[in-house]
Amino acid sequence: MERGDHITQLLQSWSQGNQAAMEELMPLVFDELHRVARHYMSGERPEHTLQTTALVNETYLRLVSSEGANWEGRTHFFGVCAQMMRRILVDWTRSRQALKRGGAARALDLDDEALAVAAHPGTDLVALDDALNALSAIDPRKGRVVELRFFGGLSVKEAAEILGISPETVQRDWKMAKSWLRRELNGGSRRGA
Amino acid sequence: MEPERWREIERLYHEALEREALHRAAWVKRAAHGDESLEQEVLSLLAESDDKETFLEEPALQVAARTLASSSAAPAYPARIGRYRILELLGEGGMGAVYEAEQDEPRRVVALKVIRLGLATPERLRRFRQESQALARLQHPGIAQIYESGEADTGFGPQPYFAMELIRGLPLHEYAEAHRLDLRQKLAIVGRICDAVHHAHQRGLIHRDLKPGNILVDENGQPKVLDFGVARVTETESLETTAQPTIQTGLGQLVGTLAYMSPEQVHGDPAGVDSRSDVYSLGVILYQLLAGRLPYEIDRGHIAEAAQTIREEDPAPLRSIERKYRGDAETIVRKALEKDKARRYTSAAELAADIQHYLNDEPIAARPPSVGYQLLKFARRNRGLAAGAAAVFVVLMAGIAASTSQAIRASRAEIEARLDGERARAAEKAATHDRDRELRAEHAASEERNRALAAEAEAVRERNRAVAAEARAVSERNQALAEKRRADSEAATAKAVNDFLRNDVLAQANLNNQASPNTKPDPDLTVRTALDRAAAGIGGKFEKQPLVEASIRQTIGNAYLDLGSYPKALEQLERTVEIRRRALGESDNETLMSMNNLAVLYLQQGDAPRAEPLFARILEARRRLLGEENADTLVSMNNLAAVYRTEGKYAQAEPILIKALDIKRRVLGEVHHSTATAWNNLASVYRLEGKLSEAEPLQLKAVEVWRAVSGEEGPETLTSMSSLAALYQAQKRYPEAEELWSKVLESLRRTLGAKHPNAIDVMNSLGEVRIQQEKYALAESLIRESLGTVEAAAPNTWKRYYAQALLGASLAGQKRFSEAEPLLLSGHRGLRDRQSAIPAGTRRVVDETGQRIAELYKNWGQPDKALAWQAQYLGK
Repeated sequence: MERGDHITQLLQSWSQGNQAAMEELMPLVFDELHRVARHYMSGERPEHTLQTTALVNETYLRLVSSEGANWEGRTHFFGVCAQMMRRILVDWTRSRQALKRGGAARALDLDDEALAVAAHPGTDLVALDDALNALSAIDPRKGRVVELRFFGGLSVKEAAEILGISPETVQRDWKMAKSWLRRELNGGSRRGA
Repeated sequence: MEPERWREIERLYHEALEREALHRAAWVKRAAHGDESLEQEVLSLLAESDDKETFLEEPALQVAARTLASSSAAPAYPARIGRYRILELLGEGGMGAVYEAEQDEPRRVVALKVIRLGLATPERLRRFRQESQALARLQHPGIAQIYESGEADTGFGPQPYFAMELIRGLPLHEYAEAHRLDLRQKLAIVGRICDAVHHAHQRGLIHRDLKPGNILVDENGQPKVLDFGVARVTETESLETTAQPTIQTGLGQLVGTLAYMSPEQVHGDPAGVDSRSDVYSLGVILYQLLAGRLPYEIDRGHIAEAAQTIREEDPAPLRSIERKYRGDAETIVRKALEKDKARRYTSAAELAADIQHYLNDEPIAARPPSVGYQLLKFARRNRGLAAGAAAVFVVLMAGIAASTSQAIRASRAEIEARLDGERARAAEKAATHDRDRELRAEHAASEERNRALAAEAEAVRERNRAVAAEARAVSERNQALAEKRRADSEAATAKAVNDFLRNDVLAQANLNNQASPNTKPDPDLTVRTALDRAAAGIGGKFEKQPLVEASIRQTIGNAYLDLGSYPKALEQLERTVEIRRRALGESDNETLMSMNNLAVLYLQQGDAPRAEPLFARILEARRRLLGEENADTLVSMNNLAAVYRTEGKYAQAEPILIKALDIKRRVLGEVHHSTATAWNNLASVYRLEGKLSEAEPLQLKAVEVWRAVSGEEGPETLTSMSSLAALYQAQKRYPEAEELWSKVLESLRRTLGAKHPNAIDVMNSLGEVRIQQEKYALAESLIRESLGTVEAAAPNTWKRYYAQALLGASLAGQKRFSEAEPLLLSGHRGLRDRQSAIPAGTRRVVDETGQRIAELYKNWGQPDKALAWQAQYLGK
């Protein structure tokens, strides 16, 4: 019935950057971000990838439970969610870096001190985002694999399901994409023409 | 980059990786065939291919979180929110966080709940304010009081918060476990929760997210419902969702929350959610509290299935978890958990009231689903049910109704017994009174010497009378006690039978009940299988209650009888008679009843010689015990006459039937099923005697009365119509007979099913009358059907050979002689060998088959054989 159509439309509008969907996901992502961060601070090891998946699951439920059960939309949804996670996290990192550089100051109660310093122990998400855009220009599928695995927190198998290709292919794409991206980020690239 | 070049790079990269690290560079150089840029490209990628690197293996969220963590000593929570000083983080989740906080004015410690609304648009904030005002008006000892609501700027725009009563206590289920609450205590606490929920409902607030985690029990044992209306407040206007997790729900626990949601919530029908949805959640909470598990197995990994389970699956009955929950406790929970909210308690107050009734040992308002409703569900679930099942349902229902009426009778007997007891006590009192009087008289005697002798004599007489009265009183009381004991045991029997039927037969409709350790649940369970399982379950179960066993076997036996499963029916009914004879003796009503059923079965199996003496004995006993005009006696008269008729002893059958008909018309009236039977049977005896003109008006009357008492398609109506058709056939009014039988067959197919013995009989009769009208092809297809059924169901009976012979005849009529010959010969042999089993009025079929064989040979051009058969059968 129309119900299914509606979900499909909704998903399509999200993938086109619908703000409402972002609004739903954003606070969840930030909460989770803080939660995981607190775990790090307290010296506990966070329970790894589960967080992202649970987050996405929950968002999905919140958005879809009112729509009855068009559960086929699920795979598609995970794909869209990974995209949104990417945007949220990259934008967040970018704004932090801007603040660090003395950009627009926003009064934040919760963690304004947290914004003061940003030593960079891990991957720079903004730089990664740029590199990923470059990869996608050459090989869109590899770009999607990275998005799903890294931003969406999905397993090889799940990613394969979403992309409609074999897990082996995902594994190969993933491997090469990582090599490619790392080379880009390390600045050691010698790009082909 | 050119796609071809990229593909080449990719190919070399992967192929190189398959080689030893040491040889890769050399291999790539060779493979690049002098293309240096290609070689460099591949080598630079290979240099980054180290698997031990954790690059990108940590999800982005974690990377960001680590960045945040390492950037500073970010406080876990703000020092202040609004007017509140934050003391401690109590919990957090997808929807925000809850803190223990201190307020200065008035000075108190509160629970401060900060809710993430997504972006706080003005519209959302307006709605939040509106709703939170309503929440603040809720004041009930069972609801965590909301003191205040407001908005705090927490970094993502204004975020609403609630300041509410801080409850120090345990979540409901933990409390129940820690205090080892018993059944009554558990019910009592849920009753108090219902009261609180009802208070909110009356103010138009629905909780929508009731679950054990949202109910804390404080140290005084007072349950407190948290987060009332919060689910509603936090809904977003763009996407109305009913599945809002609240703050104390951890991430990813929504599926757990799902388990407490009503079918209408899971269905995502916000308009369908009302206070009864909360009633449902209370039902789940109660169920879990009693059973120690959720009503459904909910697979956390599969949301879709979980939702479907909630919408469609019946919860496992409480009694299947613990026997002690049978009865009212189960009924209450079941009613709260009805899928259709219209069938639920209409309010939390009603649920609370029934819980209170239960605790007070008063009758509850909820009724267990009626037998009819259970049957309906059974039928819906069981696609394997043929139309024949309807008949079995009738029998089972009758069985249940009978045992229920037995129970009523028994309780009447109990009342009688009690009255008798009171009468006995009154008599005793009178006797005592008499004795007092006697003493006074004696006293008078001593004073008045003159009248001493007379008075003394009188006193003696009176004392004698008193003693006699006392003795009578004692014996009456004993009798009353005996009566009451009998009443008790009858009631117990009735109840046990009822329970067995409900729980062991009907309850199999529910897949959860079927799942005993050794059997796999069978969604296509048929009535037959249900009966088989029930029958197999009887043995040994009632060792100390032989009468219960007998009643159950009788009911199951009757059900088999109606399904046409004669051997299985026989086994049950013979056991019934045996048990009752031993326990009650042969002159007992119940024993006689089961003997009667057994004899009916013998007769239906074509064993008239065994049936006749049994029927005679029953009739004799009933005449003696019950009198001539008793309904059971009349049944016996009818049945004995039926055996006589089968055996061709028409002269013996006729007077019994005339007498029975006479009594029935007088005692029961014209329009009564028993009177109708008498008319029918007398008519058929006349028909078999060849008194066709006398038979016709009676047969018409029988059909008319059956129509009135049993309906157009009642089984007896159809039987009497079939008898009428047989009468037309005997009168050689073949087209009328054919039309009537066709009609009957059509109804039988619809009601009892095409495989029922009655349908087989009618098929054969209809086939025969078609042969008589030379409609051979039509006859053939019909008889092939009946033959197929009877060969599978009763291969060793005369009916099988009769069908064979008829099929032969229909083929011979179509000049398919070589096909017809073996069928006719085999049919003839089979019929001849079983002559004694054929009802006398039908025995003609042996000779008729012989004649058909003679005819076959004649038409086939084999005059010798024709002559030989003719000599034997023609002119006979």
